[in-house]
Amino acid sequence: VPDHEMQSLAEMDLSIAMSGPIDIALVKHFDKGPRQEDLTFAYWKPSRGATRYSALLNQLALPADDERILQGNVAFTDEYLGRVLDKCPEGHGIALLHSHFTPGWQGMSRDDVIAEQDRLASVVAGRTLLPLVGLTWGTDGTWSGRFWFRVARFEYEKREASTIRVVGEQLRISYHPKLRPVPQLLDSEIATRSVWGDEAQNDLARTRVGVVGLGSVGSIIAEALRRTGFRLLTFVDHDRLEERNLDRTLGSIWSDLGKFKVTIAERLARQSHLGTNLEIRTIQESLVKSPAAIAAALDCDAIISCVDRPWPRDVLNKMAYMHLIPVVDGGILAEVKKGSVVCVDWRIHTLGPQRTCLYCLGAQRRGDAALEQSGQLENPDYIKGLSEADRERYKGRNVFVFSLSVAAHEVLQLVGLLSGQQRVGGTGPQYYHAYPGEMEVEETRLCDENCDIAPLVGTGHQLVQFPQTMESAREAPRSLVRRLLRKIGIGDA
Amino acid sequence: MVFEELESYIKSTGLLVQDLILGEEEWIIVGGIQLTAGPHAGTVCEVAIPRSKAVPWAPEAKIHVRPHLVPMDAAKYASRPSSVGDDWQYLSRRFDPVPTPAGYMAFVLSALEEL
Repeated sequence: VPDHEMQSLAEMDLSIAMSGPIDIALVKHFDKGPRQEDLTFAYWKPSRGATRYSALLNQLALPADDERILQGNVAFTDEYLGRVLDKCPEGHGIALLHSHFTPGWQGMSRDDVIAEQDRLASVVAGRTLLPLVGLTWGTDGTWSGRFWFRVARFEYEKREASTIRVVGEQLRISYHPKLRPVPQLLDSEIATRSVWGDEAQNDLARTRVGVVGLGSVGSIIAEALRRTGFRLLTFVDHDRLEERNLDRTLGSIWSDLGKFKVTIAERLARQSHLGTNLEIRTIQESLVKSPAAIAAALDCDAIISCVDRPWPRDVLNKMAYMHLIPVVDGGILAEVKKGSVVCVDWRIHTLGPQRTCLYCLGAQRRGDAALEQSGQLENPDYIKGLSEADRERYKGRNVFVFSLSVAAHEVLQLVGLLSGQQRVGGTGPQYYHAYPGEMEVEETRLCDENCDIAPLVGTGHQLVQFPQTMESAREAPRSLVRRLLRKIGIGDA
Repeated sequence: MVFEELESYIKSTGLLVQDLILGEEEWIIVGGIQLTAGPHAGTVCEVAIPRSKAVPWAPEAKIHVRPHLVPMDAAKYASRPSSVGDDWQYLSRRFDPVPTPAGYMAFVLSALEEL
């Protein structure tokens, strides 16, 4: 295999993700006391971003009693492997998960390497055309993981995942100690660390957060994130600054007119106390019109949605469940009648496994995205024919101070989600009524029984059906990756 | 729900389903839809639905119908020219429930019968 091809794949970050319920089921399965390891197989679907390739575990294939040998350590039988290979759902990869007796990120014993590299890597790649994924569970709940790529005929090489994400009521990330090391402590963030502690702050600094929409709410969130110590940021917005945005876009000045909103947000962030410790990616494209924007979002560990349009909100809602990337979302409704404010309300909630989706929350109607796609939200005749309540809903009235409050609560929910500190993020969806000045809080609940989004957790489905011509442009780099995967890891075993 | 489930359901009801390809877009044409109520009761019409690979399937906010049932570009009916052909028109209609094959077809029928 030519060196440059191996190098090209080496540039991709590797990650593994699972939902909270899968993690809980695994912990229950592995709980055999301090002297007995255990194992299981699982199935996964790929999720490809621009720079990150993720394995989304979505189905366990737990062993029957006679399908593995427990003698302190553990080994799987050929019959168990045969069953797992036979029953592998189409388009899925196979993962082997096993437990260890110690906490933290785990290395591999000689037996572990023999099981994954010698017994499994080739046969799994041959059956699924996807690399074998291996995971190890530490007693403190830390996961460690790796992919096995083919480097030559019958020769497989391990590449470590940089993160393992467990996405449930909390987003719990296990970080590879060398690929995502603990960040350097900065004197300029001592005050922040003193509130939620070094461990939480280290996690925030190592989590890639995407902000989709850099308008009134998004520009404030971008500022809040970097002042809170988030160091890996992705900004996505195709809009340029117009005069009517100047009163609500943080950091914007007259000479910015015509500039991309992401450029303004980036400029502001670059002047921050984090200095060179900040890594920002900016995408000047629309989430619903650009495969590159979708790919950039799929690189994120969590996203804050600051879009006011229903179609991109629908896409982010699906991403939260299908690609296991939790999304903190918010919305503002300001009703005005004859020049007077009738009511101003806003809401903040987090979307993803073990949480209610946008539709079951009632934050958006299912038909809204289709309406935007059909162009009717731009059609004055259509808008005129709507009820007064609907017309208000689509107007998107807003002023800077409303955005300020929503942005603060969205960032607090994100910190709560990542740190697991409910006393920072609250317990569930929040509804603020400016009059009389009251925050209602709901308990976190699951989606309705007939919801069509919740059952798709970890399925990695395509989020936007782009026209074929755009898709072929996107396919070019993808087919290169596939060719590389075939050559160095999968496909012909 | 995926599009194939909708297509199978429509076929199971005995309605005629044909494929149509327009450039890069694929459609199914559902024929023999008889309206049994409303001002067009007795009319037999066709409905075109674009094929989609989206999971879950989400219907367009448009019902494409042939023949024209109402005047074109009428705000009252939210009727517009359809990209399927000159003899087609579409009606802007939003669908908010969780889509099911039977639920969607009932929605289409009631939208056409209440014109």
